[in-house]
Amino acid sequence: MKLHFSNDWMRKAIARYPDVETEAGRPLESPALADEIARGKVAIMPTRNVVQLRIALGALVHQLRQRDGLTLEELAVRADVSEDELRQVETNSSYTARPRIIYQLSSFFGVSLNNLSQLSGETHVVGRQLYNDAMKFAAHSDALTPLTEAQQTLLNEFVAILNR
Amino acid sequence: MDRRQMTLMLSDKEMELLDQLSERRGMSKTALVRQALRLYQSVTERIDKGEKVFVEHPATKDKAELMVL
Amino acid sequence: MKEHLGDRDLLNRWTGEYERASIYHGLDESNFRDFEAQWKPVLERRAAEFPNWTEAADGNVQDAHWDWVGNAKAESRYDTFAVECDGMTQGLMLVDLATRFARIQSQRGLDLCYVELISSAPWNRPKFSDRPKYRGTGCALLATAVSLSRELEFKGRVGLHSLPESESWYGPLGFTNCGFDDVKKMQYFEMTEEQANQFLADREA
Repeated sequence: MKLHFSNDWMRKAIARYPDVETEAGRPLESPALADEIARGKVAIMPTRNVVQLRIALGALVHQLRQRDGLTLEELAVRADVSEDELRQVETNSSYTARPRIIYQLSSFFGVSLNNLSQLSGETHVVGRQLYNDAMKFAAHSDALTPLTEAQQTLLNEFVAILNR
Repeated sequence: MDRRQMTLMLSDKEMELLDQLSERRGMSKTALVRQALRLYQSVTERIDKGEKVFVEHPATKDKAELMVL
Repeated sequence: MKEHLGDRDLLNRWTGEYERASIYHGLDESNFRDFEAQWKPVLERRAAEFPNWTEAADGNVQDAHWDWVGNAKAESRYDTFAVECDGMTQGLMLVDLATRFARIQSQRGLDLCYVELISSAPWNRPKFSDRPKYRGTGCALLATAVSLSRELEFKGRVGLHSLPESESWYGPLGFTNCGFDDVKKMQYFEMTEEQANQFLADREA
């Protein structure tokens, strides 16, 4: 294809138009976040905080799976996701879950997609309140033992918060 | 850009349709056929990925599936 | 396959001199590498530095985690473009030709070039950097999008959704601000054939 502008045009255009940002299009999975950043409701987090969030995410998915009495393999089949990726989500806090698995898990467990995405740390942009709630939840979670009744209650409360 | 040639056999009705669409969309017949290809590719890719393509009625928000494999 | 469309000047703000840049149709591994190895780390490092919430928005780092590579590679329906200067990818653009149509009443339903994404390297952005380097990548890419639109016989029609900090640019360029789009949560801008002709017209400085 041909370019319909000369170099002379280019130089004049550079001089003529304002020297400002020119970005357009969707930068994040959720463009609404851009607006919320501007309004101070969310922030972009440093990596160490993202790791903490993912620990919370892993615990959440693991406990929901336990609550529903499913093995990892069973959940992978039912939620139509890869077993490997599911395992990574549950146990590896350096792993960035891809949008699709977050979407599938959000559908399957009935948890807000927006909030689950934030927990996955995919965007490094997280609501302040959500971050605090996730930290509290993670602090009381023990991924290695079966769900106690107390933990079940905390799990339900956290899910309710996520779906508010 | 590579240029390859193809002869297209169209019925009278199809030719008429091509004329009408070109006129309506303000493009030459060749440009229109090329765009039609892109649109067809776009829909096919989505269906191949397991996505569905719908049309939506603006007022009622009723949805009807556009292409079913 | 990457096609070299031509060379156009960018302004190097540091030196005040024009520098030759190349515009390409199609991306290759070098562009993907530049994005992953140069753009992203700069954006991510900066993103992590923000002490508070509102400054992060002011710093224009919202595409820190944007999957250019994934988008460009996975979706073959996009036409991709790059501006390269000084051995580096300075600007990137993704264009959709097949799923969006004009909204302005006078051209409603007609085909247009929809700019899915257009982005300048972080070090070129006035809000991001204290010493932004190259000026003109956005202009070059947009003019390329209008050129493509003409080549396809879409008469120069272009559409895009603008990030908040860029809204003050698209107006002066000649785009019509069509209003806030509830679905994309951004302002939608569209350029008509007449506006495209005005935009690309040779004018006195």
